[in-house]
Amino acid sequence: MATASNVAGTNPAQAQEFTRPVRSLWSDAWMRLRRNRLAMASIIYLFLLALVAIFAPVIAPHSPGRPTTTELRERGVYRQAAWVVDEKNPKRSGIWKFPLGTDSAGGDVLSRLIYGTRVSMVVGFIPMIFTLTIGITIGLISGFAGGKLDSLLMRFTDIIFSLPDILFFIIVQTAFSQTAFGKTFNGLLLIFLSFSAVNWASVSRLVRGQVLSLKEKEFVEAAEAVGVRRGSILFRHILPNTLAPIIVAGAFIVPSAIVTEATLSFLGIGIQPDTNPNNPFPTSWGQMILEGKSAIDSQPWILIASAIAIASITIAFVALGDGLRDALDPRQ
Amino acid sequence: MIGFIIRRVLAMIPVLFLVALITFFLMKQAKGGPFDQEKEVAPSTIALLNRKFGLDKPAWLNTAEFNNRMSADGPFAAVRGLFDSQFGNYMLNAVQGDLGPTYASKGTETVQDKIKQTFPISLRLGLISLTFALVVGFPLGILGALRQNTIFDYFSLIISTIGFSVPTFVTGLVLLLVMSKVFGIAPIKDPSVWEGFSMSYFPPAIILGLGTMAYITRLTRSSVLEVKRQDYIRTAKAKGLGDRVVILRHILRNSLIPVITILGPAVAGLVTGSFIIESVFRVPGIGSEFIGAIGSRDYSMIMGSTLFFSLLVALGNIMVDLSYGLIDPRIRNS
Repeated sequence: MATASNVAGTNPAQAQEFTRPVRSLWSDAWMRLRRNRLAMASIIYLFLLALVAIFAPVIAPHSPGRPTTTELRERGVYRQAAWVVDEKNPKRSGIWKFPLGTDSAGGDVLSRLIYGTRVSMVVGFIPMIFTLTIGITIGLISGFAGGKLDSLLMRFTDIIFSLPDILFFIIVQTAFSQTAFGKTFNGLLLIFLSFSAVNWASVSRLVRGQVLSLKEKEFVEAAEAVGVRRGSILFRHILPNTLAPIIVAGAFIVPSAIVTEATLSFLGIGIQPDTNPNNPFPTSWGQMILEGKSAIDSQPWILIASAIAIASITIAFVALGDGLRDALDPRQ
Repeated sequence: MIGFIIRRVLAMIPVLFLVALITFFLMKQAKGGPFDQEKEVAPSTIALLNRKFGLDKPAWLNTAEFNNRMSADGPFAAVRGLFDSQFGNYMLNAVQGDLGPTYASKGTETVQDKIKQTFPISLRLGLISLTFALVVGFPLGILGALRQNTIFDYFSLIISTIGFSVPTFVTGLVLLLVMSKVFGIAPIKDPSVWEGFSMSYFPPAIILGLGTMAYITRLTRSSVLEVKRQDYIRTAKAKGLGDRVVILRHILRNSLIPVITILGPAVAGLVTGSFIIESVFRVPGIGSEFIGAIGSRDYSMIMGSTLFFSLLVALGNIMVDLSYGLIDPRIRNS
């Protein structure tokens, strides 16, 4: 493993020493992750999806908005996927101009799928950041302060932890979806907040546990002995050492947030559809599944395409999370 | 042991109270009442209905009644009067097992009746899927770990990754699609098939159990892998014990504990997952009822089923904590 770089040194005494680049926990983990083919494939796939999300207006063959009357005549409603020939209704046979066919309003399924990537990406990452921020803060305070504050915070965490989460989301959506607050970013803000409001509890438990065990470690004792202030001990010595499990937890929050949004949209109470072509988040995969469910016989590709999209993005994130866990926790 | 059970049951009370509080608060924020109809209803009718369901009272605290009774009947009656509010009355009745009339039925049916009707169907569905998850997930995980990096292991990894990550409504709809397009099985429309156990339960139950099964497989696999490397396993082998005894007595028993830990969340997942699966497969269980109640803004039904779901989840967690003691003598004695 040790590579002999720097051998041709000028100093003869140094030439005898074999040196190698410094290997930190992070570079070790990166090496292990790079050997995990499934995780690397997931990273590439997710990177491509991120590009699709960013450049959706360039990639999408048609506008995601409602078609004009002349466009609608050409597109047809529930046109089949390009390779499907509809014998009973030749007008609905697939053409390559609309590779995955059209939906109930004449929208191009492929374009909607491309724009839907945006919602999944945003809904995966932003709640993860919120959730981690709340969870880490409460976990750090709880673990480091100890005593009454700790038991108070942990009681609260336990109660939040035992809330049936999807039920809570459904009720929050019902309560606020018609208000101005609930309509911000097509309801995305509401989903972000309600998701983070419940899911921080597991993160804060994790962080607290880490802090409690790290507090007893020799390096913290040493730092205390040389008179490092409490704040620096917390942020310079304890926090960096809790990062590995936090990253793994964060990697699993992303797919769970994506699934939550898709589930809510599937129940018809997630993000609100928008026909305005200038809206950056006009549609989501969960909504397409809901539509596809009712068109399961007439145009199955609405369902199949969105099902594949959701399944592949969540599998990729979970595989990446598994890879990160294996890479960051060598005991496994 | 009894002390432990009592303590755990008492700890449920603040959780359930908080769930009720949050749900009630959120329901109050929703626009539109349960009696909003497509066609106009006379304001007097709405007032009458509101009166009938006690919706004319203040939401949280009835201070007017407090002041009235304080001067007339003294402090005890006054406190009772203070809680003569929508929330106070709801909680008082709920403690006695009365979850109130459903708004949708205009008061002819109570929420607990609805739960009694629909819950057995969801329970059957849940039991079948939990059995499926355990019977398939556990052996699959053990097999994967004992034959690590063989074809069995990869098979169990693929199945568990798919089951763990893909949401159930996606797998459920794909199964429906395959059933209707490939096998020509039409979706069930006749509600009577759900009374008593029948074959119709299997497709939704397997889909519902898929996530739990995958989770159990993953956990069992990593747990067995860890136990396999312990010193006491080497000792057992060194003593000359056969493979069977080592696996059954030493590896499996010790790797059960983390698996049991997730059974509580798993039961919760099955309970809350049921309303998505029920609406996909049109199972007339409590989950479908809940989804329907949201559409019709039937607040008493939403409140009632939320409390009921939370109670189930909390009870599931207590059962899991109790089962630790049965498996692990170290926990039993501490």
